[in-house]
Amino acid sequence: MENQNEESASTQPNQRLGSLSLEPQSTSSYQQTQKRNHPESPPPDESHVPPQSPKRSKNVNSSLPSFLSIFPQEIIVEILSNLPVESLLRFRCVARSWKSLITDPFFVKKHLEKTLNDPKFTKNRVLINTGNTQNQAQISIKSCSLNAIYEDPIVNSAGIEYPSKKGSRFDWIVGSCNGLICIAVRQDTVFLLNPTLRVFKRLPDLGFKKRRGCYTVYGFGFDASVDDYKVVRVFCYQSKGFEDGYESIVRVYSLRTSCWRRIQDFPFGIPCDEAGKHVDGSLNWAVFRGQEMGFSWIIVSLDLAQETYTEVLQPGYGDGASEKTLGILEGCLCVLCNYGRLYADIWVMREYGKRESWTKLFTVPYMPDPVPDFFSTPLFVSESGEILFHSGAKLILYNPKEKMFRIPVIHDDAAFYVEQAEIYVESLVSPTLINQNW
Amino acid sequence: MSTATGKTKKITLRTADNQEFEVDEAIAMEFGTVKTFFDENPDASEEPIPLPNVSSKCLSTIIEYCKSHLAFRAHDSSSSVEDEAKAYDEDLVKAQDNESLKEVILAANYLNIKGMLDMLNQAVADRIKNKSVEYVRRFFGIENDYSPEEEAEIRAQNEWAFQGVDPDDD
Repeated sequence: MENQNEESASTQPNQRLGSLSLEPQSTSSYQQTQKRNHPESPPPDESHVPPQSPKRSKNVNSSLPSFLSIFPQEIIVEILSNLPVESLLRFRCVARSWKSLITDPFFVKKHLEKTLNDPKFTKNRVLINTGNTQNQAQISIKSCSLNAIYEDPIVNSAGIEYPSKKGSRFDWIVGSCNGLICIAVRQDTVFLLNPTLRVFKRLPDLGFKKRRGCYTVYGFGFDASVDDYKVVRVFCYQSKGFEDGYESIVRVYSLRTSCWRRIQDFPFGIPCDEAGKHVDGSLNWAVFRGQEMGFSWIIVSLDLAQETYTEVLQPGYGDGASEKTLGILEGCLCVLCNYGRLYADIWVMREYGKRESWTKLFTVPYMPDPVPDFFSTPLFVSESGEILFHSGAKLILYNPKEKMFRIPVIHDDAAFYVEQAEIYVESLVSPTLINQNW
Repeated sequence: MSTATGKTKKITLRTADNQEFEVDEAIAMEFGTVKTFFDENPDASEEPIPLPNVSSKCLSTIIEYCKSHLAFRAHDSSSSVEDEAKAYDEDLVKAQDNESLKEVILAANYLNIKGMLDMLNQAVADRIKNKSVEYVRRFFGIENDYSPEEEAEIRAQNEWAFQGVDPDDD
């Protein structure tokens, strides 16, 4: 591959400063991947690239030595990894080497890491699943910038494209991970998409026959042990007579193998009708477990690497605790515990798997104004402490210091109501094939 | 290191265009390359250190940056000091045209000043993010090695990414 910005040009060994090391910060593993033979670029033609290429020094007025008009590779990588995805899509056109760089899995990861650690959350967006107030059958999924929801008087939204039947009421956001989003249509068909790249992939259908009283829940997550994205499908059905309760059939789809595989069934009851929550390579569901004393609400975790189930122990909620909801807040497992319609406590498990690490973050009061409905688990907490929820048909912001609510105005939202909301990031991760140059 | 009289140790740096800059040791130690040199040679002579890859214009910008940021850090960290530092960085970057900006990046990279380099890399990203492909080629001095058909194909794949781009007037 024609490496326009040769690493060797920058080390200038004959200009060493005494014993000072002039090694620029190098990402050595990156250099190695760059030398891989990418199928789409022409074979490297080393004779073509002179050490100080005059064709690159277009700065005829510059009094600088010509090597200064060449940026070392690692600086280009740093600069590019700061750019928004849309700019990078455009800059694939700059040169072949740039296309190779931008589609390289190492670069995709580096760009993602910067995004996930961005203290300004500039690449974070909120996905909203909206229903049409006039035409209940019309559903569409849109996205807005997270910062805009907090800051803009009117928030713009963009539609998300994927094949969806008109009039479908059953599109459901399963979850998001590293910029990929999983959507289930009619509990049957699953799509993985990256809305920023505008690329989607339809998973192979499983063709389950629906039975009476059955439902399917999903979960979507990332298994770091094999660098793979996985979708879990839990098909829940009544076994024999009603007294015998529900059973499950669980299958896992892996993006790398592109196929579904059956794994062991849910050992503790079956999940409630909600998508699994992804934390640290595990998917977590709320489960009603039937015992002699009655039912209890427990959290069951499926380890994506080991494919084993464990119960996640909860904190002591105290007297008066009623309905609970499971969610994710800033990468941690989160439980919203209601106390009737009076107020709700929000707990996060700061260290996944450690019961002692459950921490009560805040309490939110229920008030008839602005909305009387239950809150979702919080989606995000801003630097100033303002909490973003979804409640009733709207997104809501709550400021615990001022004890005040406000409702962000989304463009055209008189025409729709919000069914679901989920945070995602803009990334270069493609669902079509992990290593393919898209 | 202060002596009893409060005099701080000075280090002399000599630029590519043979100008000498005398700076407080604390500032010179912000340069990773200089710090490494003195860590490895604690008894180094007091001769000026040659910096053949850095021009005097660049070095004075870099010295001002390090001086200011050292002062910012000496204050307790508060949001107003953070804002001041941010404003300082923004003004510094605004004052650089593309050529100077590139020069300062290369100098900061050579001198291994991570904080400044990270800030400058972000500044370049902000400068180019809404620019056209041609602008970026000119900025980085890169030749287009696509055939017209290949380039047209990539453009067609993500048409929307080419909309709303700044006009090329600089």
